[in-house]
Amino acid sequence: MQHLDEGTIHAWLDGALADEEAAGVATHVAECHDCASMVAEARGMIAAAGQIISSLDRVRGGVIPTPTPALSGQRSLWRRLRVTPTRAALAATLLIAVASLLTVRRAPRASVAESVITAAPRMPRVAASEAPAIVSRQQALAARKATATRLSDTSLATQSPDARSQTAERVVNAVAPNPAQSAANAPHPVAEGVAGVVADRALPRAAAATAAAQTSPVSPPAGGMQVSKATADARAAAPERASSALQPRGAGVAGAVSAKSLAETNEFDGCYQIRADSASSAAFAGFPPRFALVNTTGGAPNAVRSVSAEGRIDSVILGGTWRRLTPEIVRLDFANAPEQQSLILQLAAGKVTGRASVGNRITNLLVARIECRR
Amino acid sequence: MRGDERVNDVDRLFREYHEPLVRYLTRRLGDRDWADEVAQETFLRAMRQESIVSERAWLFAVATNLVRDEARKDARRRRRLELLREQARVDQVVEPEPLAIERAQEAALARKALDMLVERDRDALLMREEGLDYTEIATALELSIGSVGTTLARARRRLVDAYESLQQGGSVARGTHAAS
Repeated sequence: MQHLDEGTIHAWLDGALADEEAAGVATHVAECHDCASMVAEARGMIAAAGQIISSLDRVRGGVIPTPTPALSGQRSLWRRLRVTPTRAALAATLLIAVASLLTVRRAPRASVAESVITAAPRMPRVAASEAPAIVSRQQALAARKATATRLSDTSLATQSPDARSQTAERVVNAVAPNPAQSAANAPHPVAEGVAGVVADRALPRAAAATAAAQTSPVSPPAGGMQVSKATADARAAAPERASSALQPRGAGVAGAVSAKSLAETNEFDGCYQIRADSASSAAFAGFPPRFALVNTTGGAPNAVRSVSAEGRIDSVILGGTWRRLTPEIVRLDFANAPEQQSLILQLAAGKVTGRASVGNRITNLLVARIECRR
Repeated sequence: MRGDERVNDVDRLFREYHEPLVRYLTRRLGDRDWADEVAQETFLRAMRQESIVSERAWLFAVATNLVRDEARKDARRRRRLELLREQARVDQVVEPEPLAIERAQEAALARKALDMLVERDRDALLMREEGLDYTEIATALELSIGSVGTTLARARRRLVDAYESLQQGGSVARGTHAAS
């Protein structure tokens, strides 16, 4: 017998064949292996097709809504307001987003940054540590200025005296804001206090290396920001450095002067006179003709006092402070002057040279040490 | 045949064949509401018919032709059929179950696979799934009885092949999406 065709097999399986024909097919399938395989395959096809078609029945009816007038007057408030779950979720998300935005905007600017350092060009490694002693904005301002000065000293160490003072001026002017601005924009004290303890020059190299290891490198691109976080161990191990960050006079140059040694060296203490024959004295008449650098204890900025013509140390010049930049260089600031006014003094071989800046103008001044008394 | 007898006969036809016809049309069209409308139109025509020899074959053939021709509806008589349909629904209390996503996807695949068949294969297959015998299918689709088996065999094979290829394509697409 010839092999069965697929149509006949399906007709046989569907019971569409006459009895006689069906019996002949059954006999052949029982004897023919190939046709038996085709029958098996056809059974599978019929079952699979039926299953596929039955899956079409999963179609929702009633797609076209029919009005139900009896229920229209009993709709709930939510339905009347058309508040669907999706809309409610969207509204809640928006509410949370707005609330978060307002909260963030109203938070103190620097409270989030535990140790954010405003970047300066070619910053040295700066160890960040907690400064628990900083409790006021005034102290924070002083610490910020000290940091700026220390940052500037990195490049000073490799420059000529004049270049050093100029660089120091530029950096300080760029980094340290005016006191008035600082008071207005003073960030969080903690963030300020963390702003920088410079690796100690007097420390042994190993100790300096340890300090560096506890420090995140801060070398951002100009204008960028870097976050420097010391570990808790570093904070605990460096309370002295932290406190020294609060005292401008203890602020050392990167890899330079230790706070302790600075506290013990007061060779700049004394009285000075800007000589009357100084070429630019007229332009820089705002500076006191005679002044005394008085070392202050207790962490306050070193005061600048006026000196009378008789050589007697007089009252404190308001806003006048001084700090040591290097063992040979000190910087005087006169915060109460109409313009930003500072004076860099350099002590070399017993001789004093001065470089004054008022605003953007810089000039050399002849400065001499004078005898004075209290 | 008197008018009352004819109405009673149509009612019988409706009760007997409405459900399979709507299922067939729903499978065929993929739209339950459209299927209902076509089924109503089918029974509407049955009411106009003086005599029907092969009831089921005739109903499915008319329904199939209506689908093809997108026949117009008779609004006035459809209203009466709507009442009959509602009564049948109340009697059967058939409510559609909520569709799971997987089931909806399967239905979509089946719909795509079915649409890939030629119209005659599709109609024959769906009619067979509704229990129409080869003679009825041949009558409805105007085929010879001997070709129905071949038509059904071809339709089943193509449907399964199309469905499997769609499944594999979906799996590949999902796998690609997951990998990316």
